[in-house]
Amino acid sequence: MGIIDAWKSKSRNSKSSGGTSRREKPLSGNRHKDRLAALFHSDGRKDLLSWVGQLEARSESEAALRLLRAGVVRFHPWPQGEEQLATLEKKQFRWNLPELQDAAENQFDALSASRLADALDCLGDRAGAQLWARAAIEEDPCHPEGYLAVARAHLRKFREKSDAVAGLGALRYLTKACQLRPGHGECLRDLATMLLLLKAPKAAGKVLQPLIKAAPRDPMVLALTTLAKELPAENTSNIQELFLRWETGSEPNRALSPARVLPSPPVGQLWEIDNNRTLVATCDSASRDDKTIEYLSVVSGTLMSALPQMGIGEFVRFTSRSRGGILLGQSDGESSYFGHSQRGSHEESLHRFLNNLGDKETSR
Amino acid sequence: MKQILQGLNEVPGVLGSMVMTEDGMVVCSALSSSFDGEVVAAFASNARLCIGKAAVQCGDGIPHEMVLEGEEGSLILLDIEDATLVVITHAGLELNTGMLEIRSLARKLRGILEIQTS
Repeated sequence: MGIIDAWKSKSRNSKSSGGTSRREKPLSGNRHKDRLAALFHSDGRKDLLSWVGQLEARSESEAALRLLRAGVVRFHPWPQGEEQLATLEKKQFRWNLPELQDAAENQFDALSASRLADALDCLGDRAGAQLWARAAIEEDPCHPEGYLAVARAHLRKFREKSDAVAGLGALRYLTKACQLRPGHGECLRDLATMLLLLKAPKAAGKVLQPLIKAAPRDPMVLALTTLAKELPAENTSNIQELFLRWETGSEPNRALSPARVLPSPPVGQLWEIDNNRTLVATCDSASRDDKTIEYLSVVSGTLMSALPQMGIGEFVRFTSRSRGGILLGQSDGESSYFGHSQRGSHEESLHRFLNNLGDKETSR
Repeated sequence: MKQILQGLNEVPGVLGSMVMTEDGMVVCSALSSSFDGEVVAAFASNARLCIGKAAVQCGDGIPHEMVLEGEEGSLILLDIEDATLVVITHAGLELNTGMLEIRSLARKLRGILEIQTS
């Protein structure tokens, strides 16, 4: 199940967990909703910081923290807000740490371990945070809190440092948490945050729908909703394509018809996709179905980016073997050539054909 | 499982191995210190997912084996009963008998996972 699908099916307990979470109760009553919403308008940074200051002065640290977290997501990138949030979180968690440690050690369960993991991560103890988050997962692998704690740590790193590995980690752990408890309020908030960082307001808007109904005055919901309305709608629902767009800063040209025709292989179909993930050539028999092209384009972009980052050098070629056929890919540095056949026995001849094709195209 | 992975790492050309769930959670890892388990799991899971989607779209069904070759090494992903065996090797292992040994150890792991789930 994909990450977008995972949250869709409502769980039995979605009502109890969908709106107000264990830590994030609405900031205050109805009368503040308009004022709160105004803080998230594009010129609201100064007022937001001032309100955070007022809440702190009234010793309402939890509320100040919730508001500032929402502001940092809304106005990302916002170094001043990030800095103040880090200070506030450290102060709050230093205060709470003995209580959280006590709970995690004495009445050990997934929830208390994950809360401690969150606190340690905010305090900069990444190793300790990982240890407790893993302990939460081991204690109850079917409880979403442990996965959420890991996802939140990754999400924070992804937002603050634009770290691709952290982004993929956040997606993986959020997917898992969403699958375990569809409709869980914190999962939905974090998922919407992730989608907005990937510039996918349409998908984020769908994720936010149940939260808008359940917790319309929640600062994070207001911040995310405002941001989702402001960003231009994305034209794909493929999360991996969205990730590649974030990573490379470019998107493939889907409107372009392939300008060239590749020679037909003795068996199967062929496609050529350039380094911008755009289809540039096919053989006559190849499918030009939008989904096929999008998936092959994502494979090309993903392998070009992933292999060097894993430490095994530039992408050269891949082979995928299934019961129903083989899918092959080969790169010549400027393009990726893909070949497909429904017979596994064609693997060698198709690889040879792709190899020759790459050589010819390079010399041409 | 750890023992099998350590045995696998003794196959000439193998640099490290790990088992991860379908959704990319690391179950057991025997990677050398030159690889970060979290990084390998993140990218291996992403690559597996996107190639799987393309293969299914082409009508092949879910792949049971993927070999991703880079200039300096290869990443082999083998389907083992609701989990994936990830093996990192030197470049060019696909061409020799190493692949046969890896497949054989993958069958052993599949056996273990079958016993655990039954």
